[in-house]
Amino acid sequence: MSAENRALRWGLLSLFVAALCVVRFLRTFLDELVKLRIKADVSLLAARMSQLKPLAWKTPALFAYGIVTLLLVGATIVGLLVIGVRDALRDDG
Amino acid sequence: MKRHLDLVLVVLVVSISILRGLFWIGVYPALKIADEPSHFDDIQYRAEHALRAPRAGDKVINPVLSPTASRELSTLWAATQHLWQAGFTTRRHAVPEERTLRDMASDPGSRVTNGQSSAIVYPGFAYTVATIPYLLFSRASVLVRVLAVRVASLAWGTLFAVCTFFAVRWTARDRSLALVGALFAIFQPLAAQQTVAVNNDAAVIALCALLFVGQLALLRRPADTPSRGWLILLGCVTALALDTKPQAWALVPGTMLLVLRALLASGRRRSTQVALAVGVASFIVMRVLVHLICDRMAPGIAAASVVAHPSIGPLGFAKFLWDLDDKFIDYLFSTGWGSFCWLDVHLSSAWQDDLHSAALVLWIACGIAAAIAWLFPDTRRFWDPGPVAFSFFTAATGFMVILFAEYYARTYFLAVRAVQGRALLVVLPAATAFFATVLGTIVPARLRTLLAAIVAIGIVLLAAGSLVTVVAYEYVG
Repeated sequence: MSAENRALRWGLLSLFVAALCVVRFLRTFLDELVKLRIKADVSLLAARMSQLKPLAWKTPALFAYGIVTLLLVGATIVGLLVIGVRDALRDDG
Repeated sequence: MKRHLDLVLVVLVVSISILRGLFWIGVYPALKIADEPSHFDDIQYRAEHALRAPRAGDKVINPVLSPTASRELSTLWAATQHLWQAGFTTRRHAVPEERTLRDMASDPGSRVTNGQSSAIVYPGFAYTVATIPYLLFSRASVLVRVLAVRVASLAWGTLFAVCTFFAVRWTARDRSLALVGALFAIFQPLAAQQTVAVNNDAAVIALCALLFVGQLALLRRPADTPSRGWLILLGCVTALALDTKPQAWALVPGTMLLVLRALLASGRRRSTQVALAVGVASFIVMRVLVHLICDRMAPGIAAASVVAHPSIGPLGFAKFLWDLDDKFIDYLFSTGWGSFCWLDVHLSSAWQDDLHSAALVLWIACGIAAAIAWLFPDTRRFWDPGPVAFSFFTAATGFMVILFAEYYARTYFLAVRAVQGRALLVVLPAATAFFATVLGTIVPARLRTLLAAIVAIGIVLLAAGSLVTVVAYEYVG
């Protein structure tokens, strides 16, 4: 086996371990989200989060910041994934 | 074109940082992040009465909210304590307390404070700067002024993220890793909280990040021809950071190392000596200037900060390190990752377990990366040895400075756990640069961006988890 192939195998193993860590994070996050969803009424939560806040942070402005952040971060991660997969599949030969 | 790409990434980092911060600012209830009332009291004193620090009285200072704080701040504190968990009784989006606070804003008497809050022990640069957003909204409700000061902290936080981007970029020379490094600075749960709070932490971590980037810039140049511009920047930023919070001392050994390197490399070259003298002079001038504008150190506090305890020394510190228990390291770890809202709520034990697992994987990766660097020294590297070693040195020095602060507190004040893990945020860019290099080393170049994407997903999930923890605690209970 060439040195490059060996490095690629080790690299894939490292990616797999990193992905396992992320899956664990995802599971914990979903668990906590489900717990919150069971306990909370969303419209009540939105009202509570608005109280004692200036106008610029009352719902829906607050949720607008959250959604735009999510979209921007999501697009960044998707961009990284697309470039990452393209790089991984490129033929160096 | 490639330089242009860096600029695009910086704009992306700035955009994400600001939007994320605006969201986080709204999620945390006013004054509920640790010590916000006392920091705001100090800022209010400077904005309403004098730019310099209040004179310390002889009474014991209340660590939460001074009984002599302004009426409007006390009213807001009472309201935010009441509107919490089961305290919410209505589905309306506004509460009567908002009108009360708005009415109070037009009464100058409701703003009077003598500034006797626990923040009085800190140097004042960050507080004096924070009077700018305060004064911009001086006629608005105290609620608006509190959140305006939080936005100023967000500006510091954005500087912190941009500096972390360059710290990784100049260490690992990989754009995807630099982007993930910046995302880590934005979303690390405690950094995300501290950079949207009324405090002096946001300023000190941003100034220390800028200091570290300045040090790296100096390191990238030949040792015998240090840049005069960067030296002046280092001098000024060091002075400002030291006048913000004591943990800025963690970055000082790095600067001294670089100065020593320049002196050894240049011999007696006059131009180098002049450049170093200019750097030192800029530090002294800025230190004196900022002290005159922002500080009025009370004699008692000044004495406490300079008088050394007879039992404090290298041997005592070595013994402290030898006797250090795992519980304190665990405490630093947990308070460095997720102690929110006045330390009453932490990331759950499930998150802590996940973080411990990820940390273990990272340490194993460090071992593998070190083995690769040692066994295959001729491999084409994507990282520069100098900046990587310097990043490790800075991160390790920061950790030792924090441990020394705990040792000092235990010996001098007989206080245990006086230092929290969030103090380590001042060396987060250095640690990020080092660990990003490690992660990049264990995979071949073609898999590096994919690894960066996977790590980015993990960072964002952790941040989202921390936010769910805060929302569940504050608004649901």
